Parts: sequence; C-alpha cells; structure tokens
Amino acid sequence: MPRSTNPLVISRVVGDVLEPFTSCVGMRIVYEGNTEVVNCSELKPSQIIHQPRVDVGGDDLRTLYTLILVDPDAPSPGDPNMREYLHWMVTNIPATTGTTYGEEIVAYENPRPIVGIHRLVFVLFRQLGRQTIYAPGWRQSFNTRDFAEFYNLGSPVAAVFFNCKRENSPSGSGSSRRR
Amino acid sequence: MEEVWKDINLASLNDHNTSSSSTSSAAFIFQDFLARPFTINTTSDPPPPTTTSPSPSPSPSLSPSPAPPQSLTALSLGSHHRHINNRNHHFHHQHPAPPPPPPLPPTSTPKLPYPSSPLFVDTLPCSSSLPCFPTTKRFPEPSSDSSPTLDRRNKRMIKNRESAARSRARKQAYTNELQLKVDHLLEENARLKRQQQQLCEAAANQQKKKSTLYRTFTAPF
Repeated sequence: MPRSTNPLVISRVVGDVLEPFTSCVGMRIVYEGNTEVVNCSELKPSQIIHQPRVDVGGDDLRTLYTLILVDPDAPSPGDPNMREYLHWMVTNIPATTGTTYGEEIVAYENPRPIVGIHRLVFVLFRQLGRQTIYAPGWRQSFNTRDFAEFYNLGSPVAAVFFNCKRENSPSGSGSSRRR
Repeated sequence: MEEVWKDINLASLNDHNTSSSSTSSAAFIFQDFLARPFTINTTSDPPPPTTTSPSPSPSPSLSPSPAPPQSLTALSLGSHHRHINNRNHHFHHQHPAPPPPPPLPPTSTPKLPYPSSPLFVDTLPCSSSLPCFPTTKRFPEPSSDSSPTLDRRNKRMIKNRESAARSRARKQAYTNELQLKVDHLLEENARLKRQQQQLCEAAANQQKKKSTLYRTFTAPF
C-alpha cells in the first residue's frame, strides 16, 4: 500500500487542486519578516499582506515560468463553493529569477480568510515559451487544472502551500461554522 | 491516512447510504466508520431518538483504545468482527469482490495503511465522548424519517467530522514535512562534517610540509 508521505498529498492539495506531479524546479517563497513558506506552515494574514519574494530555480534564463497563488478553501473549508480563489498570477518569469522579473497578470490580493483554516497554494508551471496569458474575468471559481490545460502548461514543476486562518479567531472557533 | 479521507467521503455521501445497504457487507465496512460513534445496532430498527440500550455498549468497549473498533463492530455485525480485526487484509479482500454501492473513489479503498492505525486511536477518545449525546445514536439514515432538529444535528455532526478529519490531515502533513526536513538536515549535516574533516586533514597535511616561513601571497602593491 503505497501511502504517500508527501505533505501535498496528505493535505489533499494534490487531489483538490493539482494532479500528482514530480517537483523538478526549486522554488523559495519568503514573506516579509523573513518568514519562509514551508509546506503546512501556518501564517497569519498580517504576515502575508504584501506579495512575497519568490526565487525560482532552473538554469536557463530563457525558460519562463508562471506562478499562481490559489485558495481552494474559499470561502470556508467545509463549504468551498468558490474553489479556487485566485490571489495572484505572474507569468513569463525567467528561470533563476523571481516574480519581480515576470509580468503580474493578476495583482496580489492578500488572503483574509474568515471561516476556517484555508490552504493557500503556490503553483509553478513551466511555459513552453513566451506566451500571453490572460487574466480570468474574476478571481473565484478558478480551476488550476483547466488553466494549465488551456495554456499548455503541463504538469506543475513546483508547489508549496501554507495554512492561514483569521487573525483573531473567536474563542471556540468552531461554533460559528455550525449554523 | 486514506481512512480519514474515506471518512470524509462517507460523511458527504451520508444521504446516499440507506439502511438497506447494511446488508451489503462491503458497504457496511464504510458505514461502520460512521456508525462507530453512533449506535451499533444497525441491523435493528431505525434507532429511536433516545436509545439508551446501545449507548452504554460503546462506552465500555471503547475504553481499551485499539481493541474497541473491533468489539464495537462486533456488536453491530458479528460477521464483521474479524473483518475489523484484520482491517488491512480484509480491505484488500473485501473490495474487489463486492463493489461498494456508495460511489467512493476507488483509489481510497485498497489503501488502508497499517501505520494509520494511530490515527484511529486518536479518533477513539473523541468517539468515546460521543455516547454522552443522546442524539448521536442516529445511524446515518436519510433525513426524511426524523425531525428537522435531528437532521440539523446530523449535518452538524458530519461537518464536525469532516473538519476533524481535515485537522488530522493537517497535523499529519505537518509532521511529515518536519520529518522530511529533519532527514534533509541530517544529511546535510553529515555531508558538511565530512567536508570539514577533509579540509582539516588537507590543512594538516599542508602544515607538515611547511618548515620555513615563506611568503604565500604577493602583496597587492
């Protein structure tokens, strides 16, 4: 019984957002205050107000990547009818550089979850070449799989996720969800 | 871990599981996950709102932690006692033979990893507290047969179980991530130590050769 120990699988990021894939490009995401995004780490909304610094691996400057940030648990993990909510999209990022060298198609919107603990997933795709990717009409109900298929991006080359919940959780935080 | 997700799937498919499926042994295995904290007399009539008889039975059997699922389900269906005893093996055997009526994802069925039993031990303390609620006797019956209050409670319970399952998944994912990190760091540590040792030796060898002072770097000017 091959039970995966990959945190992406256990937390169902692979499943809800992505197909199984093999990570082949390094990616390092650091929010302000030197808080690096580690799988399944918990970050507060106050820590993720501004877009993070993203360092993409790879070796050839001519290879371009697309990075997206989605929330599959919008508006609440128990009832994710807005799955997925697109928070950020940057395309044409050259390898070995960062998002500052790419084109921001969808501006970074800082996640502010209200109900429950949301997973926020950064996904990196390798582009076949320089291409024009258009922003979707709206942020919610984004589908990463369809998006990748539509623009021929193939399987993701890297992904990392973190958890985020409301800044000031009411005590007995479960109670508000029950109604 | 897959059991946790099966749990969620079961919970979400709650309304599809009718009492008639209790006759199907394969489906029952799934149902008894739901039934575990609930009443165990699934073969009897649909549970009355306040069933006192089944309620005490889970509690004594729940006290020893790994044993309870077996005895619980033994009460529900005698035939399943040994199924739960060899949960891992029997899930292998069970699933190919009778196709489970609820449309569960096929990938989740064969995977019952042995190491996930600690997860069940985790859930048991929770389930042992459930018999305190009078309404938790409700076996996942379709909502049509009871008052809206029970129905709402049922839904709430399902949501609670889902969120509990998510919590467990999160915890598990975090632990795994830490484990991976530890492994990487240990590897790196060992590598760096070796490297440092090599450099030290090289330096020591170098030192032996030098017997007199001599200039090693030319001056910048």
